[in-house]
Amino acid sequence: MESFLPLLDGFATALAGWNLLYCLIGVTIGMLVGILPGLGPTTGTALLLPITFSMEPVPAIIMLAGIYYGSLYGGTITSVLINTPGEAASVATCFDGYPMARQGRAGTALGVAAIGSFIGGTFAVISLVFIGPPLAEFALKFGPPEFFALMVLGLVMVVGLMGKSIIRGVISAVIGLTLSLVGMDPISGALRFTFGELHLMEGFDFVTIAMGLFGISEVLQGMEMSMHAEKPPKVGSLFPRREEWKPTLMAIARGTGIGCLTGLIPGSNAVIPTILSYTVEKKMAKDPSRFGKGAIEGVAGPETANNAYCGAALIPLFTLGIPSSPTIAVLFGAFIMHGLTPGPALFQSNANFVWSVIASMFIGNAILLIMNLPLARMWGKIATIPPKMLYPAIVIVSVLGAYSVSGSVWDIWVMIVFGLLGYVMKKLDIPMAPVVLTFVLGKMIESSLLQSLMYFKGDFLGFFHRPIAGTLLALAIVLLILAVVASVKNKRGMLADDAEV
Amino acid sequence: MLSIFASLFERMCHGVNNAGVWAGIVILVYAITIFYQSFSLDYSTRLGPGPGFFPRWLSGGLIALTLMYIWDSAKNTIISGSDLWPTGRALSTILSMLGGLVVFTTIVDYSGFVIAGSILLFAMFIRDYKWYTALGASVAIAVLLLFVFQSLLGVTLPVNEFGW
Repeated sequence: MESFLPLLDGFATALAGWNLLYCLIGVTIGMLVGILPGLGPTTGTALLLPITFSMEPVPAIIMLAGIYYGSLYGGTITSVLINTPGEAASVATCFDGYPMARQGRAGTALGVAAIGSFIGGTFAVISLVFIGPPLAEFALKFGPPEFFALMVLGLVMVVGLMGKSIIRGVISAVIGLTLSLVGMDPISGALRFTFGELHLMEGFDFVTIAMGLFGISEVLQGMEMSMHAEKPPKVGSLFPRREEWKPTLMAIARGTGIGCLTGLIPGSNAVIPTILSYTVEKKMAKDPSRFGKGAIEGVAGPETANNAYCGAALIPLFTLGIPSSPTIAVLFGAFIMHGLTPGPALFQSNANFVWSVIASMFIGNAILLIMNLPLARMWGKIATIPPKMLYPAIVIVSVLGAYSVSGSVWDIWVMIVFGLLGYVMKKLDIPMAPVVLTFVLGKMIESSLLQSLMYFKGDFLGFFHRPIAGTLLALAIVLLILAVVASVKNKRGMLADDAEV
Repeated sequence: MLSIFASLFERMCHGVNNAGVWAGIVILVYAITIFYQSFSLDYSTRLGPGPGFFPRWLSGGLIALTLMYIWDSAKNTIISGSDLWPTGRALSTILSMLGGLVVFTTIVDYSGFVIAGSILLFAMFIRDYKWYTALGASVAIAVLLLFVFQSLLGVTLPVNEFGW
C-alpha cells in the first residue's frame, strides 16, 4: 500500500499538460513504428532518442516508453489486416488473426487484441508498482561484487538465449564490451584505445551505435527485399461472440501470466512469450485443429503476452539497473543520457520520476485502447505506405539524430560503419542485441569487477565467499554450461533471433 | 599446438569463399589489436587491477572465441561470400543509399543541411520516381526537416552561410 501515494503523485505529474501530450505523441509514434513493416520497437526508440536531447527527463522517458509499448499494439494491426507483422512479436498473431480477417472478423481479432493488450499491459505495470519498490530496497544491499555477479548472470542469459550459436552470441557480447573500453577508464582515468583521435576520448556514443546497428542495418536489409503494400480488408464488429468471451478471457489471463514471468528474465524478447502463449493455448484447446484457421484464443493469448512482457521487462531495469532486452537497453541509454542511473537507488533518488513514468504507462495503455478499438481501420491504411518512401525517411532521420549527438559529422560516420557492421552481422547470423546490451553495461561491469577485486585483494574466489554474489555467479556458470550443451546438441531454435529489433 | 594451427590453416584455405571465415579473420585482427594495445596500459596498480587488466582478459578471450568461430565456420559452410552482398537492383539501391550517405557526410559542413540532405534523399528517391518528382520531394523534405529540427525541436543542424 505504501506504493499508492507516490503513484498518485506520479499520476499528477504524468497528467500535467506537456507530459500527457508527450505520452500521446509517444504511443502514437509507437503505433506507427509497430504498423510499418521494417521498423520495430528497438529501431523506433533508437531513431527517436536524439529528439529527446533537449527535453526534460520525465517527458523524454514517458515518450520513449510510449514508443516501446505502443509499437506492440501497432504490430497487431498489420498482422491481422494484411498478414504482415509490423514487428516480430506480432508474428504469432498472423497465425489466427489473418484467417479471422479473411472470414470477415478482422474487427473481432483487433478488438480482442486491444482488450488483451490493455489488460496484459496494465497488469504488468501493476506488478511493477508492487514488486518494484521491495525489490529495489533489497538490491540496495548489493555491493560491487553482487552487481558484477548480477550483470554477468544477465549477460549469460542474453547470450544463452539469443542467436543460434553460443559462440556467435558470446563473440557479439565481448565485442560490445571491448567497444565500451574506448575512451577514459572509469577507475584510473587513463585514456584507452583512442588511437590519437580526439572524438574517441569520451568513447563511442550509445545513440550512434544503436541507430547504426538497428536503424541503418534494418534499412539496408529492407532495401534488398521488395515489399508490396496490400489493401486491408473490412474491419467489421469489434467484439467476440457471446460464447467466445469465456475462452478469450481465459487466454488473456494465461497470456498475462506468461508475459509477466518472461519479462523478468534477462535475455528474453517479446517473441518468446507470444510463441509460448500460442503453444499453451493450442495445447489447452478442446479442438486444437481450429488453430491456424481463425481461433480467437490464438490472437488473445499472444497479444496479451507481448504487452504484459513489455511492462514486466521494465522491472529489472527500474529495480536492478539491468536491461533485459535491446529495446530496454535503448531506454537504459536514454536514462543515462538524461543524467539518471537506472537501479535500486532510482526509487529513492528520483522517486517522482519513476512513479510519473509508471503512471504514464497506465495512461498510455488507456490511450492505446481508445486508439485501437474505434480507429483500427485508419491505422491499417498507414501500413500501405511503400518502403520506397519509408526508407529514405528513416535514413535522413537517423543522419539528423547522429549529427545531433555532438554536432559533428564524426557521429554520422560512426553510424554508417555500425550500420554496415549490423547488416553483415545479420547476414552471418551473429546476434546484434548482445553488442548493445554489453556496450551499455560495459563500464559498470568493469568498474564493479575492479572494485570487487580491489576489495578481495585480487582473489577472484572472493566472489564465492559472498552468498548472493556466489549464488548468482554459480547460476551463471550453470546456465552457460547448459547453453553450450544446447548449442552442441543444436537445440537452439526460432526463439533465439534478434527478434525485438 | 602446431598441428592445431596447421589444421586451422587448412580449413581456412577450404573456406576462401566462406563469409564466416573472413568475418572471423576481421574480428581476429580487431581482437589482436586490442590485445596488443592493452600492453601499453598498466595491468595492475598499487591499489589493485589497472586500466589494462580488463582489456587484456577480454581481448584474450575474444581471440580464443574467434579462433573457435573460424574453425566452426570453416567446418560448416553456412554463408558463402556471394550470399553476403545482394546483386542486381538490390545492390544498386543499397549502393546509391550508401553513396548518398558518404556524399552527405563529406559535404554537409560546407554546403549546409538543405543541399546535402537533398542530395542524400535524391540518391534514394531517383530509383523509384521520375527525376523531377525525386528532386522536388528531396528539396521539400530537406527544407521541412530543417524547419522541424532547428525551429521546433531546437536541434542545431549544419547550415551554410545563408543559414540553410
